[in-house]
Amino acid sequence: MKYCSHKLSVQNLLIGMCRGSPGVPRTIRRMGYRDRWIAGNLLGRTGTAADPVLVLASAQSRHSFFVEACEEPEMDPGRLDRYASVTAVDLRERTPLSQDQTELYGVAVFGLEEHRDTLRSSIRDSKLKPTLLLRTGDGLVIDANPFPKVALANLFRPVLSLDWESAPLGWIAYDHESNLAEVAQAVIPQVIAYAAGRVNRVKIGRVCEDHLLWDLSTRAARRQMRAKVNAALSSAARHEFSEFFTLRSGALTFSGTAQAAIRAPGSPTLKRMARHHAALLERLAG
Amino acid sequence: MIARNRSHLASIMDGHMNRVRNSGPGTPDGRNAAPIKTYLIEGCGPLPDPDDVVGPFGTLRLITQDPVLSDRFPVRMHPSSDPCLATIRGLRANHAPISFYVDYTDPRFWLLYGFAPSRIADRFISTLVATHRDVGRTTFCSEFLSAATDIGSAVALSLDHEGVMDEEEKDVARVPESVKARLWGTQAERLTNLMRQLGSLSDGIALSQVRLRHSPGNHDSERFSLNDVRFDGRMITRGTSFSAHRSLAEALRTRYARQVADIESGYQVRLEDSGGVLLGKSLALHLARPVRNLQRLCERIFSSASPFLLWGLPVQRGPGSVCVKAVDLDLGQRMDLEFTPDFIRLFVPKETSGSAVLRFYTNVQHRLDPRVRMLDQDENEILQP
Repeated sequence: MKYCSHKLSVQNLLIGMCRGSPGVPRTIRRMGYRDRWIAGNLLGRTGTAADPVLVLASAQSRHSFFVEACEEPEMDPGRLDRYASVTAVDLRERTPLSQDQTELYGVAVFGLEEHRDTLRSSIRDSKLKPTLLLRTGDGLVIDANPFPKVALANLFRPVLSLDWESAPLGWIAYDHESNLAEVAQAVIPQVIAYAAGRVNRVKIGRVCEDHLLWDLSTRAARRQMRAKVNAALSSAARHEFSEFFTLRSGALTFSGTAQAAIRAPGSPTLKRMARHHAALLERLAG
Repeated sequence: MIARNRSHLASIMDGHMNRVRNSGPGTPDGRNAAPIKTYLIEGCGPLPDPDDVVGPFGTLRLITQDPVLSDRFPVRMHPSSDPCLATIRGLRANHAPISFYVDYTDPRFWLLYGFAPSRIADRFISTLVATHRDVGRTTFCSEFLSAATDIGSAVALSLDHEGVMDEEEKDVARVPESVKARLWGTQAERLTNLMRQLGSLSDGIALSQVRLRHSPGNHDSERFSLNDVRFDGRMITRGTSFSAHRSLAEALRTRYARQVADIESGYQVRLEDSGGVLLGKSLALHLARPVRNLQRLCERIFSSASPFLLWGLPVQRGPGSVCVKAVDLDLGQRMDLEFTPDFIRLFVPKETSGSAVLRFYTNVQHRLDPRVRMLDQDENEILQP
């Protein structure tokens, strides 16, 4: 999907399904599942194993599952290991999950259909026995270790039909693992909004702090996110947006051209800015 | 004239209403004494940085000192003895200055009263809101205008539908679809409802203006105001009593503020302070008529021009889906939109005003689909008529 990773597609889809977004099945919502985020440091310790984790939890079904999206052919065992030592007591005491929601809990790996064989073998040895769901052209299918809740498992049999092209993407626009095109797609409008709000100098840190999951991210994840935002904006400042802003000492400064254009809705310069945004995304997506 | 306080403002406005009533060909005031114009303006939206909050008076002062505004329309600000009332005077070369009286009793939603001719008043307000980030126009959707009829008695309704924005450009020979109608009389609303159900107007019509006679406390009183409340947040008023108009304008302001607050509390996407719980939902605009050309529609909406004032890059995800991370140029706020032929999803970040959502919705009613409905996650109407 253009400028959107598998991980973010899956996360946004599941959040949309829990929140009744139009265009996606509502069955999961009707079974009482709601999206929750758990700060990475409550489960892991460092690096990517410390990302904020999306969990779908239902008091009605007395069940929760952690969401792991895997775009690679194999699942990194480190990502699964972090759930190994988690207990129901930890979840109740240290996360927003309730006792009802944690009576049964597990991990669901969302992979790609073309990696079926390698994903199967990479989860086979895991003590956690994660549920394996595969993304196909038509939706999601359950492939191994079905959910213990039969009604939930049956949703994905033979396939949970989805139109991936119109599934929601607006909840989480990018994260610290995103590619630069995905980051630029989100942060360029964000900085333009600052300029439209007559803020003429914006620190990269402030752009990052606007991210929905910033407060839940560990230091390592924040560092990665900041580096990505910096790289995307710095590349834009050197090329397509060179007439609109500069980036020096961790802060972005808008040019007089940009400031004047933003005060003149409908101006050709604003239209040019949109075209340059398209060119930037094309270039970064390679 | 500069208002010293509220009662002085009332006397200025009552005097002007009297002049309008008595004006006409052959009268001392001439034929063109313009009626009162009132604009509901968002004066201070939620700001990303709490240090930026300087209060309505400070914001007004900043606006009047802005060099860009001064270039186009030099203005002076005059406080009054009332802490929530000020006069701003726009100076024009070779012309008498124009005055607007700003009531910021509600620190966020201001009422600007003036009596300059429409063209000049509109130009002044447009320049004002384009200059500063903390002021923006408000819009009244059809549901809002329809509900307003229970404050005063509706004596006329205007309906319109201006073209369809997803038509092919090559189809230049085709005259754009449009409907405009004005219905008079106290039974106008019944006729409107009937017209909306007519098969011949299957694309629908949006309520663009409602004329309300308002006479607070006593409907037979000779002290009344006759208010044309328009979808673009402007009211044009005649009558005998400014206080009758002010009470209507304040009631509409309260309702509008509540509508904005409901959208913000229910739909702004944010993380709960204690962490882990994402708050807010996506809004959905369900279209009655499927969009014929999504890419064309998005190019027009996100051209950054009026009336949508949205900047963004439409990214085609497939034949039936376009997503846009947009910037509202009026208030300098973000909004994510996802278009399919049948519905539009909106994601509203935590710093974005509910007014931006209402403006988008109202513009969709007038420019794309008058029968559009704003629904929540359980497909209930969010804006009740």
